[in-house]
Amino acid sequence: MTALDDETITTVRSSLAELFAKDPDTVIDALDDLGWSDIVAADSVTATVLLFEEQGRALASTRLLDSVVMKALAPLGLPDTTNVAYDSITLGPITSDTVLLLSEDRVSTVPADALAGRVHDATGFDRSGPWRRLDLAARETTLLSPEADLLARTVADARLALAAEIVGVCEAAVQLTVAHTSLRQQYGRPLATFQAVRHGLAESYAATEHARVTVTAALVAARDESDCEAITTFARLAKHRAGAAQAIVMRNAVQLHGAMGLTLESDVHRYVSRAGVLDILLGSHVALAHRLGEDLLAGGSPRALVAI
Amino acid sequence: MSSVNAADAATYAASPEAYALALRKELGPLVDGSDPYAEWRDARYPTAEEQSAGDGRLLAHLYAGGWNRFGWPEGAGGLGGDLRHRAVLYDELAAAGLGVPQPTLVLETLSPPLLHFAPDLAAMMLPRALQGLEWWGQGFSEPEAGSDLASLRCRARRDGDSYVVSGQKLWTSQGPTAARFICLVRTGTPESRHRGLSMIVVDRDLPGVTVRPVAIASGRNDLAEIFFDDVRVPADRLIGQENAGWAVAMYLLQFERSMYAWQSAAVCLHRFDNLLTETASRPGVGALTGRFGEVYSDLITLRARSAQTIRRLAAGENIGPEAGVDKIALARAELAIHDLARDVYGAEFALGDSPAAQHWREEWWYSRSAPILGGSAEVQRTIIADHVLGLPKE
Repeated sequence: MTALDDETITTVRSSLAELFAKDPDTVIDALDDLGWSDIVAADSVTATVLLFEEQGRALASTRLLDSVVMKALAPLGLPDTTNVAYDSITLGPITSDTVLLLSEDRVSTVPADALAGRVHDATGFDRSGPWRRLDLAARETTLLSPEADLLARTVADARLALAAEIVGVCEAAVQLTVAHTSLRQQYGRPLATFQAVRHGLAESYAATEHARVTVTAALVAARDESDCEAITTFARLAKHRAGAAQAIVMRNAVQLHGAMGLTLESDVHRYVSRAGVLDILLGSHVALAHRLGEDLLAGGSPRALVAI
Repeated sequence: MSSVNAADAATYAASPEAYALALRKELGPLVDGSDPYAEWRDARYPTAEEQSAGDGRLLAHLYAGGWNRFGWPEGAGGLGGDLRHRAVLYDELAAAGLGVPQPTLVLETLSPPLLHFAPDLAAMMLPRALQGLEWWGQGFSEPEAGSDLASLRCRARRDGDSYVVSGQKLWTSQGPTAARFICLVRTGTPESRHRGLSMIVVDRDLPGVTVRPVAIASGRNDLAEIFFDDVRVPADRLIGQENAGWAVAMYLLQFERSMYAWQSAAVCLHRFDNLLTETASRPGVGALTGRFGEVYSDLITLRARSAQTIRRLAAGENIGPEAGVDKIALARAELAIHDLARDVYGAEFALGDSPAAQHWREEWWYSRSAPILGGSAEVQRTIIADHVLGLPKE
């Protein structure tokens, strides 16, 4: 399936980790220097997985997700640096002349200069995040009418990138928790020697791997499959799985760090709050489970989606 | 029913995709509306014994046309191909409402070690199993050795050309009707733990073998207890070397934990479709909308994970302790779909006598075995903690 060998993947992974650790703002330009388009051409699925998992692991804030959306929506002819609002949430401050508003069944635009006083710093769960919220009614935006498949594919692409990023955040949170519980001693031995702790960590690991394999399978389908409905369903399932995984992983991460996990000085909260916002973007795992259930109960036969 | 000709057989052996397409055509009703598979389509058998017999007839029917011979080597009754072909067969059978024949659950666990460690035995036993003429039971657990498998006590003592087996096995699936038992037995000292174990095939009809069916709470004889009273077994029935049984068992477990997961996912997806058809318009079902979505997600994750593992095994990779991740996904999906069916049916599940409620109740009880058999949920988590995460030992 993959044209990239293990050695190349390891090298790319560490180059990406370096990039994200340095200055997230320069990542998009630096990818060109890395020859990213060649990697995408060799294996687009692995490229997406690597890029967004590493972004997740680094807890980095970039506008890579916007570029996924604008690339998918290229036929609309908007500048590829356009800011995107995901159900009213943007990845950072508005820097483009026009803002694109993307949701499951609607895509529209609004001129940036109509947004004076309507862009609010997001001071919620992820306090240090760059998130902004737009305070805007749908009627104030200009509805675009791309072909239905184009919108559906765009939403699927964005959801899969988000899901891969959540997997990266989870993976790093599991590693952090493994390291903490292996070092921290109570009753004269490391916490990770206690069965309850070990089983919690194993559960977090399994949840992360379940999300990873589902996201990869959905990315393969999005690349190879022509049936847009199948792609939409698979992307919902993958983002549901990733969102559900972060709920398990973050619950265990906070619990297994003890009181330290609640503090501002520990890093745990950064994983919890970033994963929490990524879960919300384009549909939380709770909302997606409901949506999947609605479609099934309305008479949609459950597709097998995965073949051998 | 149509039969596979030699030219098509070569095509299918080379391409699981071509095989899948051909199977889909073969297993569906014919264009004139007649159905060579009518006997098995969404069949319900009143007892586990009748289920085994019905599944045996389905295997015989498939074998006669050549349809279940892909994925097996030619020396053992097969027509070539690899593990992926077998996975394709189970998927297509389940999707066509024919179910996954029960004997193949054990077949998929036990034949990889047979082929790998005892090709002569495989050549003798596999063709009969593929034709549904016999099926096997897995004799691992004992009354005093469940999760702690290495403490098992059933003994095999070498005596000339034979081993003399004495002891007891328990929780043997398909045991009530199995023709042979593939047993892990102690050939070393009682204290030798996993170093003193061997794997051996014991025929049911040998003098000294007694089988007692064990009904699970649904009332079906899904399990059995097997007693061995100085049973003389030819020494050539050994799988692998004497005292090397643990390695054979570890080799086997990666197949048990992946193909079983795939088979289970295929059956559950079809049952999920049944559940939706049966209950989508029931009053009150709307309150469970999100649960339907979650179960679907559990099933697709299980498919994605077990498909990946099967592809890796087919490519000759060693899976090892990572198979615990498949097993955890399997247990979650099995429990979730059956709990959902229970909650959707409510009072009818608890007290009703409709065939649908009866069916779901039986399967609900059987589904409780998913986090127990083949290594309990707790054992899987410990394996991941030890061997994947590398945590300090307990």
